[in-house]
Amino acid sequence: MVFSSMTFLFAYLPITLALYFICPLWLRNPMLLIANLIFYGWGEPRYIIIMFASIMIDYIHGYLIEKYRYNDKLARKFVASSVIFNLALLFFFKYWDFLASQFGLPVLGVPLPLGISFYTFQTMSYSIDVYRGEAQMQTNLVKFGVFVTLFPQLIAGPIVRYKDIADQLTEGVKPRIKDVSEGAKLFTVGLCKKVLLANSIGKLWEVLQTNPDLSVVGAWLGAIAFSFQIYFDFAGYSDMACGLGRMLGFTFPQNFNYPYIAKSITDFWRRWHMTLGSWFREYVYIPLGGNRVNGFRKYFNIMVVWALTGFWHGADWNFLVWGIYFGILLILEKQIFMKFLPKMPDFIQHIYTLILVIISMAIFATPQYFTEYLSKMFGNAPFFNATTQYYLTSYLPTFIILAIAATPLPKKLFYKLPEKTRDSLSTFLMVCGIAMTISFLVSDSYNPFLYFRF
Amino acid sequence: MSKLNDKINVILFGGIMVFGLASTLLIPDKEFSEIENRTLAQKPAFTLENFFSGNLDDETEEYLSDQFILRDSCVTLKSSTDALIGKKEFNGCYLADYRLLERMDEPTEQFNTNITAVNNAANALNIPLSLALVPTATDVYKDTLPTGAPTANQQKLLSSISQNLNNDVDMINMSAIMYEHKDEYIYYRTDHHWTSLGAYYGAKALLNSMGYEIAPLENFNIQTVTEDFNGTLYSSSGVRSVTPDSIDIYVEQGNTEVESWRNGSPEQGTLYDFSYLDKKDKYSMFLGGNQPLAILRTGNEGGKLLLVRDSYADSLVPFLMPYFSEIHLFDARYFKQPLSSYVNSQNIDHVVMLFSLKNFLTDTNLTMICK
Repeated sequence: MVFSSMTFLFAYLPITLALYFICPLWLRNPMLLIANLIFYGWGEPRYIIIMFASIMIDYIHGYLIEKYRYNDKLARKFVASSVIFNLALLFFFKYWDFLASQFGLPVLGVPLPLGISFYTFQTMSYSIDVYRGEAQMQTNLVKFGVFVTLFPQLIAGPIVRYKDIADQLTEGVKPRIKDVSEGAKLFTVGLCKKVLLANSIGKLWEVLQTNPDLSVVGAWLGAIAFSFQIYFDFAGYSDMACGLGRMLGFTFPQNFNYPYIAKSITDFWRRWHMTLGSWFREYVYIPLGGNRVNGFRKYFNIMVVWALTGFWHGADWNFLVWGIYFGILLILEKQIFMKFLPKMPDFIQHIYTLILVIISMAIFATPQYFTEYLSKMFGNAPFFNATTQYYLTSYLPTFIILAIAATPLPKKLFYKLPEKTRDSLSTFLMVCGIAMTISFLVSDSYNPFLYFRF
Repeated sequence: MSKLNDKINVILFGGIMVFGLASTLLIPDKEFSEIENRTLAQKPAFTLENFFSGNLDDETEEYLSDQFILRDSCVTLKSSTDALIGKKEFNGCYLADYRLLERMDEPTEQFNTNITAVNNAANALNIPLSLALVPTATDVYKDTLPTGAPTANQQKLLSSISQNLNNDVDMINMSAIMYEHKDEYIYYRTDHHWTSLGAYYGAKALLNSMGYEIAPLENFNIQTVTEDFNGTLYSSSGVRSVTPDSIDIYVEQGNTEVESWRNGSPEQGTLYDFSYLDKKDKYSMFLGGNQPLAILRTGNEGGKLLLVRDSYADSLVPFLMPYFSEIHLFDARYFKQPLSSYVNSQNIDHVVMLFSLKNFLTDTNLTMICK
């Protein structure tokens, strides 16, 4: 099930929340576990079994690691076995078909379980954190099940590491009315980002990506449209997840921090999909030696991390290219660009970053034909044509709105208001936001789920 | 203070969700949307089988959005927002010069299949076959579209069709006369059909090609039956700012008897079913809307005409009555009998296939009847 659906808004969410708050505290976790499984299984019921398997196997691993804590050799083996189990799960469902098709092996055509890239990463973090002593083993199977399946972040992140919510799980959460209210507002903000902003511009990308008479300007317009779509879609999902989490009493880590105002690619990756970046830093980059190694090894580490980051996003060549592209840019920045880029005027830094990010998004968005699409962006097409003019004029106001919404400006203006006005205004905006999103959802069938490859 | 505000937020947020669920469950479901002119999704079956097949997901989503009590207001709100931020296309319709024009997509393979079907039909028949394809308003008024607005080039399509037809198919040029009269009220502003005046010009071109001369316009006694017609484009676009259309009647039923075949047996039909004027779907007033087969016995001298039709034919057929003794309206979408056997059994003298170009490009039933 996805958040931006009528089924979620009008059936799943009110029923789940009502039951959650009616249940006595001791019953909340079992109730939540069942609700999570229904959420996950709604579109693809047979994969509930993966959830059960994940819960059981990772729980047992956590237990064994804790038990053999003083026999480091054995404990390490259990960590390895847990990581192998999760990666095998991911490999089988996500990468087998791609690799098989490259090497002429049998392609299985098994549909990708929703959110598998997110929850396998989350459960791996559990075993590793327990081993490292950064988190206590979760003895309660139901609570552990809730961690693995927690519906707000199950299918599109943020990637919540076990230690992030370990205390909340163990001690139990008692959301106050303020949490529910703030959560509802944050959820609405995310819903608006997804339905009002991302879907609106996504339509433009959808017509442009397959448009046979795309001009150079049209190709850039398409890449910019997709850049906005994926940002508002993804950030919207994260906001909805954090909002829902807060309503249930959990605090999830922030996932996006205005990435499009970044002044360098290094800065961009501190602001974009932050929980994925920190996952790779903590569980891959630093264990590889990070930057405390010399010369060649340092670059090697960076490239490994970024190739993996790219490949994590989807099983296709373009995602690998996308990751390597960022790896190279980050090394270049570290070694060369950063010596003079910060001395440039701000707008040059912004434009430098945005152009490189837009090119990256064009690679990201076009799995089978990214070279073809890039060649159009770089001149292998007429410069401008009537179709481009049509789309440019009819989407210009949308682009302006999106550009403003991608900066902290609206938030800054809002916080200039006196607190009382802010309170009533946010209530008013929340109601308007929900009304608008429902209108858009009801009257428009275009509501894509972008993470089916993740 | 802020505690109160939190309570209000929670009540409003929860209230909207509960309202959405409760109103959908408690208020009886509608089967048909008059405004959108389509059947609505019904309550899905909550069975385990349905759940495990994954169908329940899509069905619930459609059900909740189709039966949402404020659905019509939602459609209006969405299109007003789009208009406000400068969008020029509303769910496949352009708003141009106070008129809704439907976007036409480039044809698929079906288009060639249909040309072949017409050629096959001509081979199978030993009576004249004419093909009359009416360009849609989007073509006739294409100069009013926003610059660069994507829509298929209908004139190019028409000439490509004409090149690929066998010589024994007579393709009637319907475009020239529509272009000639484009400053008159020949297409509805809110609907994808032609008006009765447009149908008059269409009939003129059609009759001309068969050697008949239609009576001049001033001979007709024109009655306006409604001035409050909001058609299919009004519904699908959600645009509410276009002046409603009026529907005119040019020809009275007179002695014509209509035999309507809706459910496999003949019933008495009528040239104009005025009960539709009280409904949303007012264009269906002509002959009472789509039906597999209708036979008009005009009581006049003349041959027997078979019209393979879409709904454009319904408002045109009254103009043909003086020239034929019988007119058979044959809808390939619902009536699956092979054309040749029907023509032989009914002693038809002339077959005309009359479609809007848009329907001809997408229709998937022509091959069935043109064996």
